[in-house]
Amino acid sequence: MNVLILLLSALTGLPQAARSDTSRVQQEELEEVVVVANDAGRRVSSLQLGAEQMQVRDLTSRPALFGEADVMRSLQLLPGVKAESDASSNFQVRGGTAAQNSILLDEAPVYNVGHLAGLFSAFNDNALAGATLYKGLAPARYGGASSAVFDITSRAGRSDAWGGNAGIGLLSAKASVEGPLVRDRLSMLLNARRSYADLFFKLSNKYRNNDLYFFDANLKLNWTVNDLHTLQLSAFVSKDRTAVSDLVAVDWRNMTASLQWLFRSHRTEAKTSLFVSSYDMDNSIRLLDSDQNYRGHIRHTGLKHNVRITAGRHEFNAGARTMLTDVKSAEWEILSSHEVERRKAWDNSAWAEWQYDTPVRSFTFMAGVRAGAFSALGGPFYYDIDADGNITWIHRRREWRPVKTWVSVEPRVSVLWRPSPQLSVKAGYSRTSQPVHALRNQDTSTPFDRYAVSSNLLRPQLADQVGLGFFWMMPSRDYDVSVEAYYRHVDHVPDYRDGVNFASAIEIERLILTGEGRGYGVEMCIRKNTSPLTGWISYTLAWSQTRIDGINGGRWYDANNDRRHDINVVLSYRLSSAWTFSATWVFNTGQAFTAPSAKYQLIDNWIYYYAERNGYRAPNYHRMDIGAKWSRPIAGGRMMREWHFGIYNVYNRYNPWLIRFEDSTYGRGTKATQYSLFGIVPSVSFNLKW
Amino acid sequence: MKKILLSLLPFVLVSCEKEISLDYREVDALYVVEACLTQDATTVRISTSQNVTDNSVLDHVVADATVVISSDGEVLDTLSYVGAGKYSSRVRGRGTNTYDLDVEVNGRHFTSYSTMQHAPDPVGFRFLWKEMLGRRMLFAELRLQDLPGEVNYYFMHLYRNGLGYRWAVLSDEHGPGEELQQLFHCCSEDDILDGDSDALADGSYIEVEIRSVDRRSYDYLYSLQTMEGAGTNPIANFTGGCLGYFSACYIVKSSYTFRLSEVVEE
Repeated sequence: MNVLILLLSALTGLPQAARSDTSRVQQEELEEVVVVANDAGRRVSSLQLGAEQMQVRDLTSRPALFGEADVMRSLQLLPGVKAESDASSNFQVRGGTAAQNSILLDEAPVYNVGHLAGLFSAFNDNALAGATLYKGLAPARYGGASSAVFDITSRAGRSDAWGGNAGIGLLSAKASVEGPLVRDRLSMLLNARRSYADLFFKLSNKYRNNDLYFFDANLKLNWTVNDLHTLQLSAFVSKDRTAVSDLVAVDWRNMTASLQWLFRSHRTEAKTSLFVSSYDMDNSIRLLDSDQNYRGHIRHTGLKHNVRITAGRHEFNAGARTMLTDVKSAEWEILSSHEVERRKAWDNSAWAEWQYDTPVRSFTFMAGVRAGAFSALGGPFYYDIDADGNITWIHRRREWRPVKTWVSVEPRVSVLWRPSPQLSVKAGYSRTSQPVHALRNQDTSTPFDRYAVSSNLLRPQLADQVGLGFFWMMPSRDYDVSVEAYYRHVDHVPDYRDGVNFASAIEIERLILTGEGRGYGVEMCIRKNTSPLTGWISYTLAWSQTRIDGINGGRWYDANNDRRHDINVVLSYRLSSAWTFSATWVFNTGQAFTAPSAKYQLIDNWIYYYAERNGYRAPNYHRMDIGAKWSRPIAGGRMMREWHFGIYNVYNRYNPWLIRFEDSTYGRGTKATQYSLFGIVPSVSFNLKW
Repeated sequence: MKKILLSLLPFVLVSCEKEISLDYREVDALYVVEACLTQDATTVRISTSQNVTDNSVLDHVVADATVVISSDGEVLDTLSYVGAGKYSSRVRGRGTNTYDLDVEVNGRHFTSYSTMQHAPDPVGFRFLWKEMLGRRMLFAELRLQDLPGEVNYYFMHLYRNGLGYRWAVLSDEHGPGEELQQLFHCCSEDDILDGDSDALADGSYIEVEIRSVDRRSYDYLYSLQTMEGAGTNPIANFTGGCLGYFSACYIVKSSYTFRLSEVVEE
C-alpha cells in the first residue's frame, strides 16, 4: 500500500532470551501462591482458583507476532483470556475489559503497556522473571481492579559471574548486561531495547520527516544483605513516538521505580515496597494555522507492606498500602485556549487473610478481607451536574482536604477439597473495587484514553465474582484437565454518553454515564506436560453483557468483547537439543458490533439509525502461527547463539479488525467494509548470549 | 484531531479491506425532520427512515404533515407543502428571538425550539495542497471572524455542483473573538487524477454556506459529526421521538469554481 506498510511488515522479528532460573526467582524470593504453568501437581493442589503463572522460558518457545517473545501476547493464549484486538497487547479476562485490569511491575502500576499502538508489549522478556495472572479471584493483598490483576516480577541479575546478551531482529535491537557488583551480594541487570525502523525513513526523501520508534529499558539491583534480608531496586522506562511530518505527533511514556525490602525467616516473610509510576500522553497536531495539543498523565506514589506468617496448619497474610494518585484527565492547548482538569486522590487499604489446612485431610480454606478508603482530594474544582451533563454547581475545597471518601469492604474466600492426590475441587468468591477509571471511545486502548478518579460524582467500580473449578491429573502427571466456571457482576461501570467523545468537554464526569456489567462462562483446558511434546488445548464458552441507562434504551446488550466460543491450541515440540518447534491456533467467535438498522437523509448525507447496541457479529477470527528455534553453544560452551524463525498467520487469513459502513452520495447502496491488519507475516531474529 | 489520525491509520497499518454481506434486521420507519429558519424564510423537510437495503431517495417523503412555527406563544404561520417532502413559510428569523416548531403527522406531535443568531462574518475561503505520508491531499480552508462578546457556534457546509459535499460544526470556545479556521479534507491528488466520484474535478461548482447556530443545534450537529461511524445515534433535538433537528440561524453564502491551477501550496 505504501512504503510505511512495507517497512512495518518486512522489518520484523526480534531476538529472545531468557534465563532458566526464573521460576526460582519468582517462587523463592516472593513466595507467590500461584499455579505453575507446567506443574500439574500445583494446579491440582493450589488453593487459589483462577490464577495462572507464566514463566519467561515458556514464552520463548511460542510463535508470536513479528517474532517477538511477548509476555502480553502469550497471556492472551490462556483460557478465559482474550486479546483486545489483532493489534493490541492488552487483554480481557472473563468478560472484563482491559481498562478493568491492573498491571503491576514490581508492585508499581503500569498503564498502556503497548509499543507501536499496541503491536508489541512494552515489557522486554529478557527483563522479566515471571508473571502471575489472577482472573478476578485475587488474594486480599491485591486490589484496585474490577477484572484481573497481572503481577509481573522483574528479573535479578546473576550474582556469580558477568554475562549478557545481544540480539537483533529486523525491526529492533536489544542488549543486556548483568553480573555481580559485589560477588554473591550485589548484582545488577540492565536491559535496553529500541526499534530502528525510523532510521530507514531517513533514507527516503518522502519519509525522512516521519518518526516511528519505541524504546524501553529496565534496571534491577539486587543486594543480598544477609540470609534474612534482601533489598531490590528496579526501574523501568518506555517511550513511543509516532509522528507524521510536522503534522501529527503521538507520544506516550511509562516510568516505574520500586524499592523493595524482602525479609525471610523460618516462619515469617515480609515484603515492603516503595514505588512510583507515571504514564504520560502528549499528542499534538499542527495543520496550517491550527495548533492543538492534548496531554494527560496518571501518576502514583505508594508504600506497600505485606507479611506472611506460617504456624502449623495456619498461614496468615496481612498488610497495608497507602498511595497518592495524581490524574491529569486532560490538558488541552487549542488555539488560544488552555484548559486543564487534574485531580488528586489518596488511596489507603489494609488486608488480612487466614488460610487453614484442616485436620480433615482433604479440605483447605482461606478467608480474607480487604478494606479500602479512597479519597478525592481538594484543590481543583469539583461540580454537580444535571441529567444532561450540564454543570449546575461548582465546589472547591482546600488543597489536600478530602472532598469525598469512598469506603469499600472486600471479602475474599477460597475453598479446596482434594479427595485424592489427582483430583481437586475448588470454589471461591471475591469482591474487588476499582477507583481509577479509563475511558475509551473505541474498543482498544490508545493514547487518547482519558483517566478519571472516583469523585463526588463518579463511584468506584465494584465487582463480585464466584467461581467453581475441577482439576484432575494423571498419576504420571503427563496430562491434566481443568474445568472452571465463573459468574461476575460489576456495578458503576463508566462509559461515554452517546454523542460525545474524549474531546467534547474538559470535565470528564460530564461525558460519562455509569451502569452495570455481567459475565459468566466455563473454561476447559487439557494440558500435556512432559517433553518432547508439551502444550494445551483450551475452550471457553462465555457471555459478557452491559446495561447502562441512556444507552440501548437501558436494556442489557452484549459487550464489545463478548465472544461466545474461544479455542486455543498451543503446542511445542523439542526435536533435539538444537531444534524446538512450536505452533498455535486460535479461534474466537466474531466480536459483537453495532450495525445500522435503518438510514435516513439529513444535510444531504445518509445517516444511519442504530436500533440496538452490538446486535451483530463480525466474522469469526482464527489464525495459526508457527515457529522454530535453533540454538547451539559456541566458544566452548561459554556462549549460546540462537536463531528464531516464525510465521504469523500461516494461512494468510484476513481477520476482522474494523467494520465500517458507507453509503454512496447518490443512494447506490449501503456497503459494509471489513478492514484487516495482518496477512501472513514471516520473521527471523538472531540472539547471542554469554 | 482523532478523525485525521484515524484517516491516516489505514495507510500505515491496514493490510486488507473487503466488502462483507450482512443480514440487516429491519425496524419500523421513524419520522425525520430537518428544519431551518433563517433571516429570509423557513423551510422544513420531512421524510421517514428506510431500510438499509432500500436505496430509493424520493419514496420516503412525508406530504401530509402539519407544520406550525410560533414564537412567544404566538403562532406565526402554518407552513405550506411545496413538494418532495418540503414545507415552507415566509417567516423570517429576527434578532435573537426563540422560535418553536411543531410537527403533527398521523396523530403524532414532534416539537423543538431554537434561538436566532447574529450574522456570521466570513473572512476567506481557499483550497490548499498539504503533503501527508507522501500523498498530496487537498483541503478547503474556511476562515471567519468570531463575533466578540458572545458565545458562538457555527455550521459550515460545502456544496459541490448543488449537492452537499462536506460539513462541519465549530464553536468559538478555543478562540473567542478571534479569527477561526475550519479545514475540510476533500480528497487526494491521486483521487482527482483517477476521476474518483468523491473527488473534486477541475471546474466543480462550489458553494460555501456558513450558519451561525444556537447551542442546541450545535450539540445535535456535533453529536452527529462525532458519532459518524461509531455506532450511536445523535442526541435528540425533538421531543416526541422523531429524528433530525430544528435550527434558527443566520446564513451567509458564497460560491466558487474549483480550479486545480489555483490551489495554493501549503
